[in-house]
Amino acid sequence: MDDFRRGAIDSLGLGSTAALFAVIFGSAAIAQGVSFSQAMILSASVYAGSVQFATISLWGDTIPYATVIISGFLIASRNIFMGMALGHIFIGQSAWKKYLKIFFYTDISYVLGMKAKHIDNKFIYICGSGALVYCFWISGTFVGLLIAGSLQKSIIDSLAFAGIMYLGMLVIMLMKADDGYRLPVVLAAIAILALYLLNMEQFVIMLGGVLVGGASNLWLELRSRKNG
Amino acid sequence: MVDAWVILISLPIVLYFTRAVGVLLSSYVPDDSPYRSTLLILPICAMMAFFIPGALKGSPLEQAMLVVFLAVFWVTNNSVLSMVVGIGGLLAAKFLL
Repeated sequence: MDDFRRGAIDSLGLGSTAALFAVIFGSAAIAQGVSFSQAMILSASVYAGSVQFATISLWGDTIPYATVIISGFLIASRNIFMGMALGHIFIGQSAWKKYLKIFFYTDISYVLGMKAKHIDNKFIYICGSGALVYCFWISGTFVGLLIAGSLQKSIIDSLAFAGIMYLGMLVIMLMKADDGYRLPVVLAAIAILALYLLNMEQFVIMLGGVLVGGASNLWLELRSRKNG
Repeated sequence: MVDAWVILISLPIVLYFTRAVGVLLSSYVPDDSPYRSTLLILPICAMMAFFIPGALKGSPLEQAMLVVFLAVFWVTNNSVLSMVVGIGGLLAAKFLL
């Protein structure tokens, strides 16, 4: 229980900033013509800000189903890598616990889980973090829906870039968690930049970055093992 | 073109799938494998793949605010303060310029 509480306490800062995004999401949803109940269902069941923002940008009288689902999958595909990185902490848990609590496994809980080297039970810690951020996310959406009428669409639009800022902050937190990543991360950043300048699709950019970062890190790891 | 409710039902399933499949795959990699440390770097690369293009698509003013925001976070390690500075800067730019 201590690790659960510690996870919740440690995520207060990131959770409160996530709540701010949820407020923006709620207001933006109403501006895009999403109903109150639909926006709440999206937040409660999807629980992924970037995917939700992308979804409401495509919202209309007729919604392009394939586009929404494919873009949702592509944006959320980083969850697959996060699961692969920290998924071993889910091993040994009962199936219902594991598959229920995977729902709470988000960017924030992953970053905090990576930083929390002193925590004995990271599974419980991540659950605590995910549960608190979920409460913030739902409350923020609710507030955003309530105040939607008083926020101009131009203000909401001007805050769209804040999502990129938030992502940058998570990247810095991950990089600070382990200095050993620096060279592979720099190489991956160069690859991402090159692919972006070549006008590649977002999914290709992500695959390229992941492949370069992963391959260079693996090479460094094998070399250091060989040298003892 | 489909009804909104179809999206509201299927999108959470897709999201849950992305969360579950990585955890499932992870169980096949032993703890002492050299692949384990490599797996740790993949999420950073994946996040950067969204961050770098997103940052480059911003206006010069937004990019300047981003630099200030990241510098504040790097120095203070305080997410709330940094977001206040970042979002405050974006709003200030909207109203003042």
